[in-house]
Amino acid sequence: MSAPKKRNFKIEAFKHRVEIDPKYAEKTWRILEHAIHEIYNHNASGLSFEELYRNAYNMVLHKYGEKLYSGLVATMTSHLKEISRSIEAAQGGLFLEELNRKWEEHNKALQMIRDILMYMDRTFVPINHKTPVHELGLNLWRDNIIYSSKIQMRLLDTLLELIQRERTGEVINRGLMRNITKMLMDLGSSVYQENFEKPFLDVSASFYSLESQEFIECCDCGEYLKKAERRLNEEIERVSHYLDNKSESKITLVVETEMIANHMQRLVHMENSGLVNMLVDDKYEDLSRMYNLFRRVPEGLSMIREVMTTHLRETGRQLVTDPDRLKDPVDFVQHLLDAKDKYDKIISTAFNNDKAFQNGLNSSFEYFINLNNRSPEFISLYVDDKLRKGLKGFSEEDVETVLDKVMMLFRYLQEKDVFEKYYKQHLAKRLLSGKTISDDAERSMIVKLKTECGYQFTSKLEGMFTDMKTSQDTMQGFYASQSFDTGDSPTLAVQVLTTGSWPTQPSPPCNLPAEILGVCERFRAFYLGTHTGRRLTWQTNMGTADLKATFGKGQKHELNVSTYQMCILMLFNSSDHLSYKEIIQATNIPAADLKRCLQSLACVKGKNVLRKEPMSKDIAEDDAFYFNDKFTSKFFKVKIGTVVAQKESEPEKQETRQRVEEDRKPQIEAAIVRIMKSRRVLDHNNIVAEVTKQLQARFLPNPVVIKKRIESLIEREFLERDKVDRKLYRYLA
Amino acid sequence: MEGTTKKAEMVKLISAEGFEFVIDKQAAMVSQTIRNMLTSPGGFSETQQGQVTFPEISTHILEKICQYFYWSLQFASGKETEFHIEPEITLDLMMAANYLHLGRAQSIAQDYKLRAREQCGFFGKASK
Amino acid sequence: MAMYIRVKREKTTYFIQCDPTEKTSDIKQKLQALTDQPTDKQRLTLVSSNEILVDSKTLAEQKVENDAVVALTFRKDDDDFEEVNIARPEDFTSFS
Repeated sequence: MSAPKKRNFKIEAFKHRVEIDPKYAEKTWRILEHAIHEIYNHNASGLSFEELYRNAYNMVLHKYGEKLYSGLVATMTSHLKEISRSIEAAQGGLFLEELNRKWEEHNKALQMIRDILMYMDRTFVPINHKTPVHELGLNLWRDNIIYSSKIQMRLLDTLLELIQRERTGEVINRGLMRNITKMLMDLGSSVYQENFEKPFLDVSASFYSLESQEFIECCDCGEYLKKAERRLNEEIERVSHYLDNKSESKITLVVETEMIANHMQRLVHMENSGLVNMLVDDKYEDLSRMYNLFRRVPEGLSMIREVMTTHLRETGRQLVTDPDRLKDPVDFVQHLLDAKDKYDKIISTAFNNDKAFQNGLNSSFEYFINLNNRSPEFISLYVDDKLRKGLKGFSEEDVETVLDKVMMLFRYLQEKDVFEKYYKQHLAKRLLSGKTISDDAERSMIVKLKTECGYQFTSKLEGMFTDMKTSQDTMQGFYASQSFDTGDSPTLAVQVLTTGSWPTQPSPPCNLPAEILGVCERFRAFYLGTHTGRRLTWQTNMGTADLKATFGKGQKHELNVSTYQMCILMLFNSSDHLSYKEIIQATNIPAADLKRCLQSLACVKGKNVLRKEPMSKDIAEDDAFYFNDKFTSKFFKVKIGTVVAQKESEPEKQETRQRVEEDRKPQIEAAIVRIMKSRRVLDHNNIVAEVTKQLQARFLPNPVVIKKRIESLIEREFLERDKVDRKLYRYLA
Repeated sequence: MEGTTKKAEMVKLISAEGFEFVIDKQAAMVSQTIRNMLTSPGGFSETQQGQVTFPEISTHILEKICQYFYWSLQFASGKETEFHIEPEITLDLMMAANYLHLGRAQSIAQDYKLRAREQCGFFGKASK
Repeated sequence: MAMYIRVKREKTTYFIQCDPTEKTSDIKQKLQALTDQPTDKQRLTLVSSNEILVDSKTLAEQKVENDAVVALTFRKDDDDFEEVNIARPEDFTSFS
């Protein structure tokens, strides 16, 4: 079969049977032209692909490519002109359908023609820089159909009218719409844009401009937003159903601009229904809608945030500066917490937990909480109230929640050291009066403070707890060691407080009644016996006593009083009336304290175990006091409080403030030294800035105070002023 | 692919002399031209009958082309053998490959043709 | 695809995809689908060696390799098989 043939290598030109027939080209073209007609007339079935392909192939091979190509253009064009007429003739609603049907037919024909002319596409077209058959077919369609004067405007008007009808609630044939817009896209995105998209966007803009004007006149803010949201979703849906994807951002921009951006100001501030009303009434859905719509337009969210923080600052400022609110610190703090809860919830449910909004909320709280310099004290008082009674019956978890919220307010405080000062005082009082409800809760609060303020602050608080525990053990040891019968002698409970751990101010002891003195001395002997080298000082300004008293008609009561009050009442065991002067002499109680004690013993209805002459509210130095025979009370136990405000009085406040200022001095100095030690040379403004930065976690140091501390450090030769530049300081090692 | 020999998946190619080659459609579609013949819409006779007549391709060349289709499938699945072409059919094979749009076959044939020319001393030395 | 063989009868060639481990009977199954002739009426002969292929043997065992030419003959009415008949194109040259 493959016997070696003679190797006569003639370089043959293509060995196909060369057609010498001069009419070859014309005849071959006629066959192909006929086939194209048949294809357009749906008569292709039965044509031989191979024959058509071979004819086209041979025409190209024999250099009749140009004839083939131009023949194709002419034939297709004439068919398209005919198609154009049939589309133009379609009546009314059938227009789009006819266009679509013809488009589909043309596409199919085009594919068949391209397939049989593939050889031309592969060789003739690229060499001669012609348009490939498929693209040629689309271009001819575009030029003969879409750009036909009788179709172009009619097509656009039809599309826009259908969309308008859909906007007013009619159902339209979306599949048809999709086919038509897809056709425009297939013809090139510029065809889609010029012949549909641009006019569509223009028409939409005027539609929404008009509609939004109408809505804003008759709807409240919430309703308006609902309508805008619906319109926006409709447009997005429209794109997904029958427009090009890239149109989505363009049409949404139109809706956003016309319905939101252009009316933003008016919507937010709408009377009775604007943003502030929504915030006040917790309209989560409306707020969420506003957030989601406004985030789409420039400056939208910042506008919401602006209005929210302004409103928050204003209501906060009113809250903390309302003199009525100052009367009840617990209520004051509760209002702050409620406001925080309210806005936290708004931000988490409606504002997508937006960080910028959270920051706005925080800065607003920081702003107004610090407008009132009593906030630190009040927050501590709030904790005090909760730990004394407020949290009774709460689960551990709920207690934690309350404490965590308080800590959040704490973080807003600029003067954290002031809070610490008060917290220490309040804790001391709770511990010494045995009024704390839960050791766990107390300790949990200490842990939280430790995290925020550091070990230094809480170590003293922990020392207070240790003292309480040790005192309990000591008292057990004391009574175990007393071999004699304690009999009638009073029962003593001593709390040994380590100096320095407690916020108490030392005060000279008053004169104790002899009965008490005896047992006190026995304790002193016991305690110093086991702890040599220590000193015990009685804090008679603290502590309480339970006294049994029998009145005129034999009525017995147990009186719960302070140590001072006990000393006073014990005097009346030996006389029925005493003058103020006699009392102060006998007891040696400081005058101010004495007056307060007497006031609570003689001037409070229901607790007046003493009678005063003359009867008046205030205690004068020449008053006289009588044992009140006729005292009655429906309670067996009568607790006689000392007239002492829970909240600090003005002078006390001043005192605390002064102590805080004193405490700050060494901290500021330490900061200055730390900074100068590392920087060696620094000018005044920079020192102030750095000191402020270092200390702002605890308080905001006053620049004047910083200046004074610098001067003091210069005096003590830690620093010196530069000889030339007096604003410059040097660190002296 | 073994064991799936069904008529519907086969196609018949007929040569100038009326010889028939029954091959897998999958193999025939290595040719872009045949692929179009078999898949073009509109019901050409080839699609309907599952056979294609090539009045201008001789039996010998058509058989070689079919062998090439199978070689091409084997080659695509990683079997690296050479496709051998007898020198005396190179030119006809190139023509057919061009007609059937078989890029690689055309260049293999071109290769053989060049080598044949060198052997015949058409070029003084191997030209690059 | 592991391999193919060319099965020829008169003017027809079947390209059959197969595997060296397949038996002659498997090939006949495939041919039955194309020729409508039951397997027991088919006979396959390896042209290069003129060996008749045995139904129960594999292609590998009978040295039938990739691209091998195998002649197909059918059983005649008189129960004998036809002579091997593979037409040659030279006898049908269509142009003068």
